[in-house]
Amino acid sequence: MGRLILLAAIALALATVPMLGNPFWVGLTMQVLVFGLLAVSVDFMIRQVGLFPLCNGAFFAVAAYTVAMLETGGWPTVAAVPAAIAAAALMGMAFGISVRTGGVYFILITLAFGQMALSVATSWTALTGGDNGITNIPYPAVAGVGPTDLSQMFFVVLALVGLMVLVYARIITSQFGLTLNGIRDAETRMVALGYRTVTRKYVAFVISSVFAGVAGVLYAYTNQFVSPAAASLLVSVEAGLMAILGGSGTVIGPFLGATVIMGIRNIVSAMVPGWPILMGLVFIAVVLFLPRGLVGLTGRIKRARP
Amino acid sequence: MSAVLEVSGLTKRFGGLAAVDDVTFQVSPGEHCVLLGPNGAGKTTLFHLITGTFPATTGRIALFGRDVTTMGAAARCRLGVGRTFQISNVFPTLTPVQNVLLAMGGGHDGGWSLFRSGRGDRTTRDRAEALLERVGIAEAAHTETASLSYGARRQLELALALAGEPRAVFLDEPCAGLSPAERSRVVDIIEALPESITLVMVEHDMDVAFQVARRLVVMNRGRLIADGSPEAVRADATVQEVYLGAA
Ligand SMILES: Nc1ncnc2c1ncn2[C@@H]1O[C@H](COP(=O)(O)OP(=O)(O)OP(=O)(O)O)[C@@H](O)[C@H]1O
Ligand SMILES: [Mg+2]
Repeated sequence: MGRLILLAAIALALATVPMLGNPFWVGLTMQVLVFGLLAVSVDFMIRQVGLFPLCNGAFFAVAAYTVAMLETGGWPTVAAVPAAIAAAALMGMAFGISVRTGGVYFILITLAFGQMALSVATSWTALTGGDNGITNIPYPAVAGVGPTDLSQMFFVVLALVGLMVLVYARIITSQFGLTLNGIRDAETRMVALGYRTVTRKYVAFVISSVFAGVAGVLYAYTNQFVSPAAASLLVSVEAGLMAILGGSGTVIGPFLGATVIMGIRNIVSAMVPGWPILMGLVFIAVVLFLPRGLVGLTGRIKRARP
Repeated sequence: MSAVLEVSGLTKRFGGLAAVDDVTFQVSPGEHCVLLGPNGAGKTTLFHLITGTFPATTGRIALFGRDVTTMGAAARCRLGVGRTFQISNVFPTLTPVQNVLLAMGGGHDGGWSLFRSGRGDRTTRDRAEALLERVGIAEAAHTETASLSYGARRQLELALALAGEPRAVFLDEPCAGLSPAERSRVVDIIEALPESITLVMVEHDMDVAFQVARRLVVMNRGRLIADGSPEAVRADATVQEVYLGAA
């Protein structure tokens, strides 16, 4: 209950951002929400299942490209969005074979899958526009109704990310979520209890791909432009960094991580030339000194008080 | 009625070592038997073979009249097999109640709902708490399992083996490292198991062994060297030699 109130308070606070009247902040906050959702999809695998995927950028990109191609090809939003999410889910079902491995093998095989997807984006130019990407993606519209400017788009993104966060919170506390935590903690015990653990990890992987796909859809609409940059390995890696930075397997963690990384990239980069170094230092500091991430910090503050 | 467990010609090799070497025996429904043997005799390996942790090199295993030689561990569990591990294998970041809830759902590979709460409904939760009460760790039911004492984790391990209402349970040294009070609680729980449940248990403590079992099976160096009533096994010359030799 307390958590719901906290989430509602955060959503309300975010809703005031467009009132600042500065498109820079509106755009940046949208990016944080979109990439935060992508980081949620990665965090789900890391903290709930215990596997570190490096292919969620591919689900993100396939959904973004699908929306871009269909919307610019004249499809209505109500058809383009489900098609894009289905594309991400189908790719998730194909790449899901990775869950048969574990540990570093899982990281490597998902890396290989992600790179395959990237090479399709860059080389299948007839479909993806190659390095030029796809431009002029319109805002979404349902039956002619939809956002017409940046701040209206902002509220659409806020509402949809909020909805996904609620769905996510439900999933990780569900019966299925508990069985995933069991696999993460002691897979051999889960097997000895009768569970088909590989099937469960596969389903979790597909769920993760759907969340990444929704983030990709929102990315295409907010950015209004999709290029191979959306499919680069960096997207997967940064989403993982956001999840680890945020920490603790809470819904808020990945968004905190996204705030720090997008903040460094968009604000600090204008002031400091060596910003990637700063990003690296922040990451190293968090991993070394805050193993439970930024969310873990609140626990520390609470404990430090008498 | 057919045997609950039938093992024939079972062998497991690790490289050159036959950890389990041509073992043949049967366990009838409702029978309680204790598996004895010095360190490294192959008892745990035999349990792993029976419960399906890894496949046998040669030989055949049947559970409840079904050939399970090539069946995976999860599928054997779903036939009605419960087990404990010699080294506690519980869920450290979850609470004991969550541990038991998972153990209750495993027998039918349940817990697929994405929306129903993982806390379980009232009756399920009550059953989980009652089981924790039975194994003596009710007061720790909602703390993090990683913070439990060694003994409490052992008791939880036993709860996990029993939670799925198995028809046959395999306990690998459930009393090892427990205090006398915890030990007698485990013995009480085992003695209170319904007649219908078949039990095979590894135990080094002779007092415990004689108390819970009407049949002793002794292994040494992968081979089965004696099988019979406690009195007969105690009087057996080979067994005496192994135990005196090892001492
Ligand atoms: N995974 C493995 N790989 C190689 N050798 C193994 C493996 N597991 C067990 N062994 C060897 O097999 C033999 C039997 O081991 P096992 O653990 O079954 O004995 P045990 O009777 O359970 O002994 P204890 O009373 O010490 O638990 C030992 O020599 C052991 O070193
Ligand atoms: Mg052993």
